[in-house]
Amino acid sequence: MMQFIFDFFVAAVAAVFIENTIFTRALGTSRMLSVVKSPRTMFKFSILLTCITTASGFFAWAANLIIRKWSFRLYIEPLTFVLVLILVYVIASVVLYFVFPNTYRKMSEILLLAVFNCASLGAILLPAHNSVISAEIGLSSWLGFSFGTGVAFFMATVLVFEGTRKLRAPHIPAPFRGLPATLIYIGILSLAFYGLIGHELPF
Amino acid sequence: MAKKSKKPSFLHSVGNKALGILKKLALENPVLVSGLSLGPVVAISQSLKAGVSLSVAFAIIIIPVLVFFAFVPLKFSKSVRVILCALLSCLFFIPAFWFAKNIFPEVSDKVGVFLPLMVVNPIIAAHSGEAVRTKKPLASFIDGIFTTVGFSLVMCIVSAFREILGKGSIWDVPLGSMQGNISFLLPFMGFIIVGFLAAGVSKINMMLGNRKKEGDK
Repeated sequence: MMQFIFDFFVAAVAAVFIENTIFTRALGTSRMLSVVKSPRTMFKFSILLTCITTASGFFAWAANLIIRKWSFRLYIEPLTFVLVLILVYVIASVVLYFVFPNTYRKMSEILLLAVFNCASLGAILLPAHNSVISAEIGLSSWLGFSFGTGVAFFMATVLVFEGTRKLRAPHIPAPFRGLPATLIYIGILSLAFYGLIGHELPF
Repeated sequence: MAKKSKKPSFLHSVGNKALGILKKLALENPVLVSGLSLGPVVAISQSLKAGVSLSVAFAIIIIPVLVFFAFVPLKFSKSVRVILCALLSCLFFIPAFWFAKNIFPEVSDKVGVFLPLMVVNPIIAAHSGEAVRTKKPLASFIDGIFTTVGFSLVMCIVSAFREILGKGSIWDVPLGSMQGNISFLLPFMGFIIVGFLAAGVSKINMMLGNRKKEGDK
């Protein structure tokens, strides 16, 4: 039990600070730029994404146990993990619809966006690829990495939100206002994260 | 007596068509204007081969998906359409992956998860919604072509730029004794380069917008 918690914690911290999904691999950047406009949406989306990635981490680990020895694994890997995401989406929709119907009405659109995006699929693809390249990743590390990816996304969104508030200043040149300045700002944050890691991550 | 309207000259109409194509590819570019599909453009564009490989894979996935979506009924809810889009993209991923693995074998390992992540590419999801509304397979096919060219332009320009400055080579062919700087190959530089490209497109959009306003006066 202690080993499970330890592995989970280590993988989660690695996913947040060392392999941050936005700053080191640019996964989910487009979705982040769309939710960063409103703090409420940002918070709801991040909570949903963290729950989705953690839940899908469990099912993806189980699916990977079945498909990882197949010779044509790489061809059907996206289909397998998209089916995992669909399963998690259906479960989440059913639970919210029957247990929290008001919440479901308000969050159904955001739930759809939180499930089908590069960050959530990347959170389950990366451990699958790592488990083939190196030793098998256990359930605890897989869950920790998936959970950490959601937390990393939230942290990145908060940092970018705070930065974009300053980037609305009038002395920013007109061609750079909006997306260009935000991308350069994210690049500088990504440079800071590279300083933390000190080397390039595998994709 | 009513004035006869002047017919636009041949050069004028060709110029307008060229401007329309330029607008579609550059000034309404899904990556540089809408900020979609930034992941592969920022992270994986480390060599021109990787850029071309991902661009072709993108074309193999998006064009048939958009043509198929022209036949999808409008009554399908958004969640059904998004799920259908993801499943169809997984289906067309199979030939795309086969192509990448056999034509660019040395690159397909380096692109890692970004090739399978094409199945949830936000550009495909956004344009599939448009295809359902228009219900024109030919228009969807042309939209797929233009979107692919727009994405590939950005992908290849950024890839070539980063390979030249990062490795001192282009298409894995060394450029004399030029030594690259590894910092150009890291994701942070991808963000900064795309940011400056987006600023350039924004400036051109502003200039064209101002010129149109002056023409209306």
